[in-house]
Amino acid sequence: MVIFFLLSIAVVFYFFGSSAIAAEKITLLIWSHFVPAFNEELEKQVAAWAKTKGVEARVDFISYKELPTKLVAEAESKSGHDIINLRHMDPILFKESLVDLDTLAKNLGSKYGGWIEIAEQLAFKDNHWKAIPWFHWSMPLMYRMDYFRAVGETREKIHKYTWDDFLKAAEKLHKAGHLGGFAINTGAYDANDSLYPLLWSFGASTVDKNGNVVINSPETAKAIEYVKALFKFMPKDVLGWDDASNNRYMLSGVGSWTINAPSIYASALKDFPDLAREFDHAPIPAGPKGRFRHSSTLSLGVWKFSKNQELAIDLIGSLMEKKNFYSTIFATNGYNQPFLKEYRQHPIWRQMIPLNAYEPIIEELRLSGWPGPSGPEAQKVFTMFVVPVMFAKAVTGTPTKEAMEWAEKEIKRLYGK
Amino acid sequence: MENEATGVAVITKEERTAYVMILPALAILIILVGYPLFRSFWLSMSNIQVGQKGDFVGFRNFIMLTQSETFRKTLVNSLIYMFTAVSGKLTLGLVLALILEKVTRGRKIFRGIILLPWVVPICLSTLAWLWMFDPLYSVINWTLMKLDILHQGQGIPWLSEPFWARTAIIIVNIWRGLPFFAIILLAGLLSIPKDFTEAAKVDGAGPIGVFWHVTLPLIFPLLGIVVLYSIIMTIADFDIVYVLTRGGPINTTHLFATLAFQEGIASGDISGAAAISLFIFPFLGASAYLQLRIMRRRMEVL
Repeated sequence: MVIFFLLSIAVVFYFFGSSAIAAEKITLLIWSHFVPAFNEELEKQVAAWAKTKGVEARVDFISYKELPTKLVAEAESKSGHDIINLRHMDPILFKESLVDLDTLAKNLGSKYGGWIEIAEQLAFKDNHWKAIPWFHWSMPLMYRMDYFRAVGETREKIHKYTWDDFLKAAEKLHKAGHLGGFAINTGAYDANDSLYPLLWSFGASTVDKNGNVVINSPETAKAIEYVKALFKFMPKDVLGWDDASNNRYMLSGVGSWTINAPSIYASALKDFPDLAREFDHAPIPAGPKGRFRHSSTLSLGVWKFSKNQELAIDLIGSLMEKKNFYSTIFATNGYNQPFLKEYRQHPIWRQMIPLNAYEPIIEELRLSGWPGPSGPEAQKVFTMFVVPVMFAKAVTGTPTKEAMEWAEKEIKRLYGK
Repeated sequence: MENEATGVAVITKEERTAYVMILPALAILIILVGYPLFRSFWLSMSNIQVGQKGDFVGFRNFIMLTQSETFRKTLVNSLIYMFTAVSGKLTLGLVLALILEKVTRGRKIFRGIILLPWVVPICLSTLAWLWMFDPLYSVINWTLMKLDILHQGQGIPWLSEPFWARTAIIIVNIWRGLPFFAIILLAGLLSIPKDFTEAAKVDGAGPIGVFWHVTLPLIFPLLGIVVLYSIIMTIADFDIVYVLTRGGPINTTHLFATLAFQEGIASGDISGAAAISLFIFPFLGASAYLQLRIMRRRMEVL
C-alpha cells in the first residue's frame, strides 16, 4: 500500500510537475569532459545566455560511458532533455528523433569559413543537418622526447615518420627498456582510433565507397603483418588495456609512446610538470597510401519531443559563436578541436609547442566506415570493436587469413541489418 | 473451494478478500516484469533500431546470432563462468559455513565481517579489483614478486590474456557471492537438531561420516535452492565483466548481458540485443522450475 501511495505521487509529479517546469526551463545533457575546466566554462556560457533570454537553463553532466544508455532511454521514452550531446554518428542513428537544424548549420558555415569534411559525414543525412557538430578530439602520436632522443631520434624526424621509420625507433626503444603502445582490445575506443588510420594508410578499409565489405584484402594483410611486427615492441598488456591504461602508462613515466588526444599531456601539465616538458605530439606515421588520423566527435542535437525547440536552437547557436567557442578551447588547453574552418586559426595550438601537430591536422582526417557511406552500420562495427579484435586475434597467433575472414563475417553481419 | 453438490466453483468471501489483497502485487509484477518481458520478446523478433520503427522479422535475429562467432563464444564463456563460479562458491561457501559453525567466540563480529563483500556495492568493489589487476600497479603481482613466487617484471597478465582474464572475473564473482552461500548454509547447519549428529556419533560415526550421512542430506534441499538461485544471478551477471574487462581480450570474457549491452545500448541495435538477452531465458526458466520443485517437495516433507 505504501509503495502504491508513493508510486501514485511519483506518477502525478511526473506528469504535472515536469511539464510545468519544462515550459520555462531549457535542459542540456552534456558529456562530462575529460578536462573538468570545460564543464565550468560551459555552465558559465549557458547561464549568461539564459540571463539575456530571461529563461532558466540547466546543464546535466553525465559520464561518457553512461551517455549512450541515457540517449537510448530518452529517445525511446520520448522524454528528457531539450539539447543532447551526440557521439560519433548518433545524429544519423537518432535521425528520426531529431529536429533538423539546417538554417543554423548553414549560417554558421557561411559565417566561419565553412565546415570541415567530416562534419557533413557526421551530421548531414537525407539532405538535412540532423545536429550541429560541436567539437572533436583527434588521436595523434604522443611520445616522450627524452626517450626518443636517447635512441638518436629528433623531433623533426618524428614529425615526418613513416610506419617503417617508426618500427625501427620502436625496436630501439624496446631495447632501451622504454616500451610504448596502444590498446588492441575490446571496449577500448583508443584501439579503434589507433588501428583505423593504420589500416587506411596501408590502403585497406572495412568497406568500399558503396558499402561493400572489403576487409579481407591483401592490404589488410599487410597492415596486420605490420602490427604483428610492432606488437613485439609493445607491452603485452595492450591486449587488456582500456581507454585509461595508456594514460597511466605514460604518466607513470614508464611509457615512451602511445596514440592519444592531448588529455595525457593536460594531466601532466597539472600534476607532473617535469613529465609534461618531455611530452610532444606528432602526426600519425605515414603508410604506403598516405597519412590518416581518426577523431572522436560530439555534436549537439535537439529532440523532436522538446517543447522549447526555438530556444534550444538559439542556445546551440550561441555556444557555437566565436567568442564562446574560443573560450572553451582555452579552458581545455587546446583539447577541443573545431569543425568550423576559421576556428582552426586559434593561437593556442601555435603557442603551445607540444600541440603544434595536434591542430591544424596535416593528416587526412577520416571517420570510421570511410570511404563507405557514414551511418549506424559504420558505428556498429566501431562500437563492436571488430577491427581491434581482428588485430588482437592476429597478434596472438590466429593466422592472418583467418582473422580477416572472421572480421569479414562480423562486418557483413553488422552491415546486413 | 468447490461446491460438492453442483460442481460449480464458489468463491467464499474470505477467498475474495485474498484475491483483492494479491491484486496490487500482481499489478506491480505485470507492469514491472510482465510488460518488459513481453516487449523484449517482441523486440527480438523485429528489426527495430534505436529511435526508429521496424518490422516483424520472425526468428531472423536468432538465426543471425547462431552464425556469429562472437555470440557462440559468449555462450561458451557464460557456461564456463557459471559452472566454475557457482561450484567455487558452493564448495568454499560450505567450508566457510562449517568453520563459522564451530566459531563460538566473537561469533557476531566474524559473521558481520564475512558479509562485507556482499554488502559493498559491486561496482565499487570491482573497481578496487581493477586496480589489483592493473598491469602496472597490481598489488597481487607485487606481492607474488616480493615473495619470489614470480620473477621480477613477469607479473601475471591478469586482464590481457584470455585464461587469466576469465580467472580474474571468476575470482571476483566467487569473492562476491561467497558470503551469501556461507550465511545461508550456516543457517541450514544451525537448524539441524543436535540429537541427530550426537546419535550418529554414539553409533561410531567420525566427523566425515557425520557430515556425509547426516549433515549433507539434511541441508540438501537448501543447497539446491541456493545453487539454483546463484545460477540465475551468475549467468545474468553484468557489472563485474563490464568494469573489469568489457568483454576483452579478444571477446573472450563477454557474458550475455555485456554482449547485449554492447549491441543494444552502445551500438543501437536493440532488436539484436533483445535476442541475445533472451538466450538467458531458458537457463533462468529451467532453474526457476527446479527451484520451485525442490521447495514444494520440502514443504511436503515438512
